[in-house]
Order: sequence, then structure tokens, then C-alpha cells
Amino acid sequence: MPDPMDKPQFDALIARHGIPLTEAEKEGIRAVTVYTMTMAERVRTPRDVSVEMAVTFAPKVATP
Amino acid sequence: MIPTIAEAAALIAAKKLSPVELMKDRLAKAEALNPQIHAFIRFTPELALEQAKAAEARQMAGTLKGPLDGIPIGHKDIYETAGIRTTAHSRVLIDHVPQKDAAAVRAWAEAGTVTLGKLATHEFAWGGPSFDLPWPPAHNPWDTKRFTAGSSSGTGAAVAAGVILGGTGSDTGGSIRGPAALCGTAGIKPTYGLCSRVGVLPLSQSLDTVGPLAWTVEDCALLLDPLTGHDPADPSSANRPKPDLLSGLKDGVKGLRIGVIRHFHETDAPVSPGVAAGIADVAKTLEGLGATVTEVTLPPIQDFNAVGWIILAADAFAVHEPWLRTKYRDYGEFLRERLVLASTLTASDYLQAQRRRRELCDIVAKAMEDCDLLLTAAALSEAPLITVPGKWTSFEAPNFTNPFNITGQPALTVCAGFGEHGLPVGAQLIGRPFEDATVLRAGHAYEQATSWRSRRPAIAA
Repeated sequence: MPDPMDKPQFDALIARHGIPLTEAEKEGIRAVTVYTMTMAERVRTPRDVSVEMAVTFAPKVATP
Repeated sequence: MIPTIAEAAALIAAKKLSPVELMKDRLAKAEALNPQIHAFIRFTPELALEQAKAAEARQMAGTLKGPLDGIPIGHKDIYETAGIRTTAHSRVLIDHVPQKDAAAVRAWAEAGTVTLGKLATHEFAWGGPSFDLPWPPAHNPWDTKRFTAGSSSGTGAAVAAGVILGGTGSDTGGSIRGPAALCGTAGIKPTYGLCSRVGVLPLSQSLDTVGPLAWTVEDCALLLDPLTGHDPADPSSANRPKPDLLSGLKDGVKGLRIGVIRHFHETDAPVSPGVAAGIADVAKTLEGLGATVTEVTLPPIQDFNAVGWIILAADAFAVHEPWLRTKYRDYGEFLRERLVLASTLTASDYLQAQRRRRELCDIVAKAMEDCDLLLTAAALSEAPLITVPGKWTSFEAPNFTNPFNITGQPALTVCAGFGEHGLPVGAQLIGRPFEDATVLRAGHAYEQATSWRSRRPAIAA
């Protein structure tokens, strides 16, 4: 399990959103960033540069 | 005796059961039990009486609409209901009164269902179990100290208690199949794109599906049928012919090939002995009915869970971002802090998860060239105490259901017996995309060959 996200990085990411958090709340959430960081690492399997993402929505047929 | 939908429909058609009397009986029981199970956050007695009277008029006139006419149901409180508050179990939408019914609500109403009320959900389908919301979380009728799972928590509790014969759920990472497992009901997450989601408050648009929970698989098929079909108003709706879910339901499983994803529930995330025994029972029973059972190997379940949670969390944050800025303290602690954690994901994290999603879809599709159904757990164990699941549990614990939200496949929870604590255990059958009928057929065959459906929670009556 990696360490939690470092505080400057975490603060920078959170600051983008303008959510009114207390310092205690920030620290509590920063402590569990290990979960998302582990998952983010896990989805980065070696793959060819050209591999495309999932296309969720099928293109619509244009109506004349 | 609490009838199934199929049984009630036959009695109503034969004029041996009054829709009005059925509605009054179930509503009275629901109101009496609600202080213990908290399945409903709002009753709709006037609407129920109006709909039941209309059903009874059709019964007398010989113009019943079909097997759902006069059947008491409930809707998860993320389904919009015209003129009736739809809150997502949240203070954020405490005064939200929609102008229109969700497509699924309309479809069931047109089939003649009788709406008893709005059902508890984890906050916005991802927040629970929370005790700091305007309503308490639903409790499990098998043991009211225990968890229902979520997020379709009220539907699972109400169906298991028999106070409704079926209800709506939604499933983004297991929110139909988890409550079905812990509450001992059936529940199907249909193929992504099979059912319109118009009017259902979103959690993750690239994973969300709507579907039913009911006591039996047959009842799930009856409830799912009117929800299917292309809806141009839903961008995710598949433009395909409406499937036939009912005519082959009782055809059995002879010749079906079932692949057990043994490593999911034995080594990747070992399940409790009761759940393991339930899965083994499903495999053995279906094999005895003529299916072929083999073993399938996929990437570790943790690979699927990582993809599923990153996509769900990022999508959910995008949905809630404006409200988080202005109504942060109106959310319960669990949901608001999960959403803030989601906000730390980057665009690259999200896109890498989507790329991995495509790879996993291809791997599962390849594995299903040699089998018609997959089989694994629906939940890790029997229901834990309701105080056990915590704020971060969904990120910590293995999840047997979200792999099939990622792949979009139809997946059904069936009750597979009872575990070491005497509580129900679930197993999950998964089909190829748009082969929902095959999943239902196998689940129905299993239920018919076992006696689990004869056992209800002690408080049900």
C-alpha cells in the first residue's frame, strides 16, 4: 500500500473545486487517498499507445 | 401467505383476489413494519387506492392489462414521480417534486401496478448506510440489526418482508444485486442500454442501469419486460428490438454451458463458507438439470474493481460538483467525503480506467465464447451488522458485482440458501450482453429445483 497523496498535491487538487472543507476533513480524506492511488496504479497496465478507451455510447444515425 | 406476482396475477385474473384488498392488506403491513425496517421513506396511499380501484374496475370488466395489473410495488426514491417528492434520500433534494414520471415509473403504471410509496436508498445511490440523513437507512427484515446492502436498500427490505411484491432498483456497481443477496430476494441488473433511465437520478452515466427486485426470478422477468425497449430520449438506450423475456423462461437449462469464475470467490476474495456452499449448490443443481459446468479464468477481481470504482467515482463527482460547492453540508458525511475523494482523481486516471475497461470487456467476451453463463458470488458473506460498513468500505472490500457493470452484461442474483448465521446467501449468474432471457431462464430453473423460496423472514406475514 503506498503512502497517502502528499499534502501540497492533495491541496492543489482539492482547491480546484471550491468545496468548503475544514482542515480536519481534508486530512481525513487525504489519509484514504491510498485507495484511489492504488486503483489508479492498477488500471495502468502496459498497453500499446494506440489502445482506445471504451466507447460507451454508440454514435447516433443522423436523420435526414 | 404472501403471493408472488405470478400467483397474484393468476388470482386477480380469476377474480379470486381483489386488487383493492391486496393493496390495503400490503399497505397496512408495510406501515406496521416500517418502524422496524425503514424500507419506505414516503407512503402514497391516495395514489395506491386510485390505481388499485382502476385495476379492480378492469378486473371486473375483463380488461386487465396483463400480469402486473393490480400488483403492489414501490419505487426507489431516485425514480422521479410526478407530483410526489423524489429526494434520493438526501437533504439536498428534500423539496424536489418532479413534473414527470421516470420512464420506468410510467411503464409500470401503464402495466397497471399499484404504487405504495417511495423506497429508501443509500443517498444518491452511493452514500450509505448513513445515520445523518433525514430518514434512517433501511434495515434487513431477516434481522433488523443487520445491513441490507445498497443502494436499493429499501427495495430489498420491502420485497423480502413481502410488503411489496416487487420494486425498482438501480445498479451502478451492484445496487440491485447486493441488496438481493443480503435480503434473500431475486434481482436483475439488465444489460446496459436495455432499459430507459430517463427520469432516474444519475450516479454514473456510463455504468447506471435500472431494473427490478422481486421475490422470484419469474417475477423479475415479469417486471423487467415492460421496462425494455429503445427510448430515443435516453442516449444510452440501445436501438434494438424489444427482447422476449417470458416465452422461454420455463425451458430449463439443458445444454447451457456455465463457467464458474472460481478464482473470484475462492482466492481473489474468499467468501464466507455459506456463500461458497451456495455457489456450489447453484453449480451442482444446474448441472443436475442438464447444464455443463466448467471453470473460467479472468483477470483478478481487483482489476475490475479498480476500473469500476474510478469510473463510478469520477462520474459521480461530475454529477454532484455544482451542489458540492453550494450545498456541501446538506449531504451526509459518507457521500460528501466519498465525492471529495473522487475529486482527487485526474483526467488521466479516468481515461486509463476506461482503456482498461475496454481490455477487460474484450477478455470477458472472449471467455464467453465457450460458455453461455458465468457464475460467482453476489456478496462476500451474509448480511453484517448495519453498523459494520463504514465510510470507505466500498473502496476497501472486494465487490463481486461491479465487474459486470463495467462489461455491461446482464447479471442476476438468486437466493442460494442460508449461511452459518441463518441468513440468506446469494449467487450471481451472468450472461452475454442482451441475453438477459438466458440469465432469467437459468435463475428460474434453479429456483424451481430448490426450496429456498418457501422461507421468509419471521416478521413477514
